[in-house]
Amino acid sequence: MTRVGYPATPWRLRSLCSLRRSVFARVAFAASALLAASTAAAQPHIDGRVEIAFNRYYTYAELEAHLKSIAAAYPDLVELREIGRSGQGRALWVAIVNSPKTGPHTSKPAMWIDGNVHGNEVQSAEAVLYSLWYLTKAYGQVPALTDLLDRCSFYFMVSVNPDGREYWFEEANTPHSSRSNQRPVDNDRDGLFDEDPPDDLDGDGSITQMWIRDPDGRWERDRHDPRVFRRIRDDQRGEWTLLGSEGIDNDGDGRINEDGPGGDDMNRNWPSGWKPDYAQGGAGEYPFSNPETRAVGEFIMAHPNIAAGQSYHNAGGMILRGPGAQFRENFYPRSDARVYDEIARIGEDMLPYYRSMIIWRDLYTVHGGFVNWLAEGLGIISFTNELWTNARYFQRDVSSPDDERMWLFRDRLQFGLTFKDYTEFDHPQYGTVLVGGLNKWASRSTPTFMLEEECHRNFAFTMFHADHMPLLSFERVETARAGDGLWMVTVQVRNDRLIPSRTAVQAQRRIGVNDLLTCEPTGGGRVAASGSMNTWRDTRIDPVPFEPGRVQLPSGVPGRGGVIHRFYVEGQPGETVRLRYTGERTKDIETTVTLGD
Amino acid sequence: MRTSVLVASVVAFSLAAGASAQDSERLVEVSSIGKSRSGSTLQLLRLAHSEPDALGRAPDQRPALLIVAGLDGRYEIGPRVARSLVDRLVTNHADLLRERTVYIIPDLNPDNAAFFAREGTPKSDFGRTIVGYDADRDGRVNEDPADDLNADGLITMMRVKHPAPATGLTADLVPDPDDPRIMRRPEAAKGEAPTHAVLVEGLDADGDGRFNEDGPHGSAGGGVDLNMNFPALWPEHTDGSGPYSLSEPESLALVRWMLARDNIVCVLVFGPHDNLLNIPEAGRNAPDGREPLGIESDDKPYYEEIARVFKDATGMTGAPKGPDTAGSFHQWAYAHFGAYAFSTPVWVRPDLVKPKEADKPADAKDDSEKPAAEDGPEESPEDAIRREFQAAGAPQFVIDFMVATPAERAEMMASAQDRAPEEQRERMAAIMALPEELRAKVMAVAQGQEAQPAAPARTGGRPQGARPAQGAQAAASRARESDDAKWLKYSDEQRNREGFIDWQPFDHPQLGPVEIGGFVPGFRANPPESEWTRLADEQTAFAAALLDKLPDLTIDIHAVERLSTGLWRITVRGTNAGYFPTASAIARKARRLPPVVLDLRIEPDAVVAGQRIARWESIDGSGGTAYAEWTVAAPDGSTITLDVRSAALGNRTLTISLTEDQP
Repeated sequence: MTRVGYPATPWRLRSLCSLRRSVFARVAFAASALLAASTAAAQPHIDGRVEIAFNRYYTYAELEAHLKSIAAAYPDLVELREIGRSGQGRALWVAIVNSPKTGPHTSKPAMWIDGNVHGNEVQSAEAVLYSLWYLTKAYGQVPALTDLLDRCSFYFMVSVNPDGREYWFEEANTPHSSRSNQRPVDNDRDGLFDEDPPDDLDGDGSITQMWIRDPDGRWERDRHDPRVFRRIRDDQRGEWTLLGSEGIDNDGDGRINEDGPGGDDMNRNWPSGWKPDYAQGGAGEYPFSNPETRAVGEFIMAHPNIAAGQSYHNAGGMILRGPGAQFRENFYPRSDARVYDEIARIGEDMLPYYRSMIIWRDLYTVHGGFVNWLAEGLGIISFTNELWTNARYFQRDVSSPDDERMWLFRDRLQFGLTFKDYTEFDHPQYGTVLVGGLNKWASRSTPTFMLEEECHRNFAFTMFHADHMPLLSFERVETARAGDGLWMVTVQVRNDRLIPSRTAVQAQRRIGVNDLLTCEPTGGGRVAASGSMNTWRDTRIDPVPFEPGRVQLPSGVPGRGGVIHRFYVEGQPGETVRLRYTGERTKDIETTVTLGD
Repeated sequence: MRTSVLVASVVAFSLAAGASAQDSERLVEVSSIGKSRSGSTLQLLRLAHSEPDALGRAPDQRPALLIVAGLDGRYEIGPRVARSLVDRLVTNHADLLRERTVYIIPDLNPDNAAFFAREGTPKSDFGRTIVGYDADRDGRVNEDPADDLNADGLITMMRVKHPAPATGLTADLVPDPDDPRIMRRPEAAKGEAPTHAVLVEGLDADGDGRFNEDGPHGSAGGGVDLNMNFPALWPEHTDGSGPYSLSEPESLALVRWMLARDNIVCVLVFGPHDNLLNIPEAGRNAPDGREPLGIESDDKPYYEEIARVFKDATGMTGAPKGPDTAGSFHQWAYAHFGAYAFSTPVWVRPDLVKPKEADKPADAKDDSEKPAAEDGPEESPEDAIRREFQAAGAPQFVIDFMVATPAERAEMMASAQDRAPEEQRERMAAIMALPEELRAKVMAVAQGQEAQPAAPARTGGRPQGARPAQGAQAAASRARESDDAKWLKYSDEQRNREGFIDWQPFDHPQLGPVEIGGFVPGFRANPPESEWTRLADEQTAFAAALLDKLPDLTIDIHAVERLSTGLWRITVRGTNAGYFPTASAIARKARRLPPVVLDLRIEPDAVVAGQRIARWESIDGSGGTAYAEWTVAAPDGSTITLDVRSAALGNRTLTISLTEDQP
């Protein structure tokens, strides 16, 4: 559904007036002016051209439909690009968001934002969709985001693993299953592939638990609440045994559900520090062995302007950064670690109950993870946010609520929708069993009524992260006479944001192309020498031995800091000299000075 | 992808060599595994009797040996010998091709050969793929390759005496007084001072003060070394390793093709690495704790035996170990794919080959079995260090540091600075606690590390482990003992001095007077034509020996016993008549393939004892056996089907009759 109309407030009008856009935009503006009289008083809410509810979840087909509506409603801002196909043939979409009037998307620092590489971690896709939806409707209406989108571009990918997502929605699963994609893997090493998946015996769309009456059982069923099984004390006699998750022995090998669909964990399939399956479960056959990871990898490598990354997962309320393994700590030099920690520290405040963590130290060891490739392979400042944490159920506790409070939540806030009552089932191997329990929506995914807030806060965090991509300017340029026909041109380039124009790991590992500062006299003059200075007061330079007019800066311009460079130029008074600073992850800047005192 | 034209050419080739056309047609199938970056076919030759064997297996289902050559374009002898194996194996070892298969990929890097075949391209020691790569990160690609300044058709070396400061070069070598062709490090303690800088022949084409730092032939860039581009211990962010592992169409095509060939159990590579005379280190893992740096301890005895067979076939007593194996194809084939993987340069300097009986003077003392000191398979220097430090109770990080390559050490020292101060103090305390002698060794290594020149591109040197030194540089203190000296001796005495271009003055436009000279590119990698036949015969014998050693699994119904009416005990036996186990230690660790699976096709409820689906993880060779036993409830006189699944050794189906007249 598409709607036109901007509630008018003075600051919105101001930013709208500055837009030079299509006829469509002008019509929209006229309509909004007409509506202005009847609009409620200014409120921090904006309407857009596409309405999407964020109190519910979407199948991949529905996500695709939303992507197409947004792209159609904001043709100037959004290019929807199919970057490849999943293993089962679903289109892999990247929404390129850019304001073309300030240049092509590749000319600006860009942020990559994806979700759902693990099929079951569903709300990560809604978080990306929300970000695309909010950013596009905010452009021209919200000055802070308009300014951001005027200087940066964004690559949004709602789902890196549509096959896994589709399988989670369409087939019976637990909150934890369908993490992988659907490439068949012989999990139990019997020469057969995916031959013993879980089975939805009670047909409720979830894989729940199976219980059997057993005089030697170590569990009892609560007399007052039959949903609850409780472990007995050693001196008591129980009557139930937990058989495991719902299923039958499809292949007659004596085991249940031991070889379900898929097996590759696509968040272990990236080239930096990649390890084979026996050292890192789920790694896949080789880096980029899956069509999904290869498509993403090729897109990212073709866009060296990407300066920030976010890859959403669930769950746990974490702002995670690398390294994934202790022995790779040396890919995070101190100056980069400071940038990570500062962004994450503010993120902890923006995202209640989220904690800033280092993957190997605070979670577990990961080899070949996605943000590790971004950070260690490409030197991109990147995080993985683990959406949703149990502390958010009651928004009080820092840890998980106890059983009693969880039942209160399920019964009184979710009205029982996340629980399937136990029913009897005649099992081919076990006889009569009870099937039921918490369904696939009972944990990990954000409860629907809290989803919009989760999406918004994380969106806001990524916009904060993006806002700290490098922003360069010539802060000060001066010329002075240095001798007969010889001039000093001194230039200070400033980065007004936290992320350096080249990260320290890029400088150390020689990743990407060095930044360049060039000085070109335009009237026949020549650069005789040049060198860097630590402060404007320095009287001596640290000379560049070769190509003094084309200075390479492997370390770029540091975050919240600057570089000072002095050129000695032979030329006539009044000659114009062009200064340019170019870098892969910055918008190129250029200025001219005239030789003279 | 069968290519009839190519079949015809191979047949013609075989005919010329005296084989019958009928044999070749039946035994050789020519196809491809994909294309190189420039679109050339990556040729695959399959040698096998095409009709099903006794077990009904097609060629791609039989245990197979894969031979790959040409990953590194400098080793031209590899593709040459690999191609000549086709005819020799088909003619002389056709019997081995009934129940086994040989795959030969003779040239994985045809673009390199095509590059040098172009008119006017000078010959150089450059074996990488042909792809632009901005090695110096200056935004310009391949802008400063090496140049054949003296127009002799060769890229050799330049030595610059007392280079001026403005050149950016630093003198760090001296000509050896014993043989001034050889450049080596000076011995300061003996009063020597460095006089020369040595770098690759060429200009600073882009005026950035560095010579030949970005482009083909030069000291960096200009392509990807396929033997640094595979995922096993891939050396990320290293010149030549590529932007990611398997970034090259050639390496990716090979891996994809192999992963669809579960029957490959043994791999033989012709290229720069030797792991037959230099048996890889066993039992040491990468920092992740799982991936082997060399081989598994349980596989080592098999490597030792194969090394013996190889020495018998070739007479080699030593071989250069070659560059670091990180990212190499054979390391991947072993550690990730799970095959026994061997690599040989095929040809070594004649002083490393045992003379044939007939060539030896009658009274000569036979000391040729003794391996050459610096190359031999005796305890390696690393092992000696490890033993010494372990005996002194040194912590693992110290041992790792001492046995690391210089590049690894530089990395370790850089990363040490990022450790927490407490940890740095602890580590320092651990070093100080070592016995004085060992402590001095650690400090010497650490300081030597710092003192090494940091910028190889500027001096024209090459990154350690990436490619062998091209010039006549020798670190050994005495020229006579150095590897370079031995090559010169060989060139002078047996090759008419054709292996080395004597240093000749040249007026360099940027550096002033220099001398150009050095080893002829390829001289140390490729033998003279007179050796080709001998080498092809040797490698044929070795390949045939390997083929003969592949695992060979037979399965028989060992016993069928009636326990009662309708209750039977079945015993099935597997016997491995080959030499190699049905699964190597690395294959068992890697778990890429299932073990031998025995799937008894009977209702699960009818199995009274035993697993309906049983597994044999590995069966030793040389007649090793394994048993599977079931007790089943089934009517007397009925039959049960047993499906045996083994990707490497062949699927098969047995029928078990529940009658007492069994063997």
